[in-house]
Amino acid sequence: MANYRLLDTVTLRHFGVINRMDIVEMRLTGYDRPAWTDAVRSELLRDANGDGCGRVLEATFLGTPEDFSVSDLAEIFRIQRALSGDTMDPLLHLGEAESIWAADRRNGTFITDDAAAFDFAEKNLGNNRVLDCIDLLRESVAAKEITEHEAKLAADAIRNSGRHLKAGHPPTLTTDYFC
Amino acid sequence: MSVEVGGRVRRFRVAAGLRAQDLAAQVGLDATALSKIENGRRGVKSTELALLANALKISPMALLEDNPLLSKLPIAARAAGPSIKVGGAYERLVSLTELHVILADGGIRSSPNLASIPSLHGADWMESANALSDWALSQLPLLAKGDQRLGALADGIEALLKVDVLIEDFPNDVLSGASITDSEFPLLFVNSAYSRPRSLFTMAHELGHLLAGHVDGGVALDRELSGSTEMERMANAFAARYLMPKDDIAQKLEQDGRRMSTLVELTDEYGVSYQTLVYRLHNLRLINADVRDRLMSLSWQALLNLAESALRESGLSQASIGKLRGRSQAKPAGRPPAMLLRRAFDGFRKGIISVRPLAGLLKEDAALLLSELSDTADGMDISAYFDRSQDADNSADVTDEELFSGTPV
Repeated sequence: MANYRLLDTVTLRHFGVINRMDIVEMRLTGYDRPAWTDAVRSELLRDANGDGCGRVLEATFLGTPEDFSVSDLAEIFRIQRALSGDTMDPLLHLGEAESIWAADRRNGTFITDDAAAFDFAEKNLGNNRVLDCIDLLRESVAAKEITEHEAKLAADAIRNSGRHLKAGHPPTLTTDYFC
Repeated sequence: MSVEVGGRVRRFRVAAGLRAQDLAAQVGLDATALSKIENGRRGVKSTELALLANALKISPMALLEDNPLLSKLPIAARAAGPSIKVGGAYERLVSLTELHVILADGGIRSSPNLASIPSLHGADWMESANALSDWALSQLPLLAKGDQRLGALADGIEALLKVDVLIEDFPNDVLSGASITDSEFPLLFVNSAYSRPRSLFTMAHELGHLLAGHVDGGVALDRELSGSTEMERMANAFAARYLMPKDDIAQKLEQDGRRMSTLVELTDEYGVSYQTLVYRLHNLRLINADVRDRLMSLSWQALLNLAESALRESGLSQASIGKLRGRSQAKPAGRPPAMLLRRAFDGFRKGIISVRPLAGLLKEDAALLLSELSDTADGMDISAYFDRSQDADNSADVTDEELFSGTPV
């Protein structure tokens, strides 16, 4: 089992915006730190007033963001470019790239709600090493940390805040979906 | 490793004509930190490196590894002038080159077919243009007429040479065309923000660069096809000879006479601008300088006014004449680079790239494309993603009317 979990900005903000970082903390119990990378933190800092960012940045349980040596960067930027479309935003998808690279190197799990990054990571890491926020909520229900009803409320609250779950989940979620 | 990366940062900074303190300020570093990075005495974070690359208008991959092709782009841009880097077209070329590098490193290589192009060893620019246009006219005959020519030329280049052709709209961008002549990733680019006649000439000009294969550093970025260097003159001469073959013009003039309507027909049939045709007639010594200047003083609309009654008498409808009036403004349809697109599909399937570069090539929404491809993953038909629609042919019939009487010199 992977002992290392790395969360993407989009998923951290999902839990931050509904003020349920406690669920993330519980889902990181027993896993090594850090659970985020320097580029993910930088992305949150750049949008520090954005929905959910403040709560994520205050979450000390994520650990000190992972930094990378220069010798790691060539592969990380290849992944970043592989994740990017025709945008030349230099920082876009850098957090995802760092997380996927680190998860790959350390037999870790990557957690994202970005469908394109999820699909790419699944092809490279294997489908048991990529999760989204619904997976975390299901785990939390299975571990009896929250009820199915709380999980549904959390997912609905994410959507109601104007944020998007990864494509493929039904438009209306029932409590059964989290069992 | 830090020393090598720092050295590249310094090299590209100097090449870009930037002072260390200016670059440092652009990326939010203090000058001392940048100096240490350049000297390899300080590591560089991923976010810093991304910002440095962005400020230097270079791929971060070119700062991290010796990559000849990615390194050539900023050098070519420097040669073409600073404003080349401002628009999106240059960034698009960098992005596509990065995509090629990633796919090639993942084992999905391009396979251009350039072996049959004649050698130009020792030839001057005129001899080169002659040899290459003769070769192109025999190997890559451009049988289509009028508005169909640009698409047909792009199809022919991709089919015969296996070279990628990108036609894309970058409004207000000074970059009108480019050719990457690297043998691993040849690509011709035409900015479709410009009119269809100009775009066709640009495409042929860039083809000239590619066939000559002698562009400094393997990349030519063109803002104006001005002929300021021998290389540019060669590309212009090639384009003129290829698009407007001498014997064809002579035959047409012999057959239809030196009439204004003949000029209209030739212009439309060749798909070029009226001015380009007039220069060609002069260069072929079919008209003298005086006639050239008098014809050049006529706008396309003025020429059509002079030829209109004859065109009508010949049976050309009002709608067709209206279409002719608009041809100098009409812009070409875009097209993605076909070989790169196929490679990208393969790379997406194998997990070498995500769906986003593919969506970027197709100008489609990444989430929708991913959903669509996920539904058809086993039987993806990529041909469905190619849209090469071209506008209808605009060619006109001809009769006689006013004469242009230029005497060959």
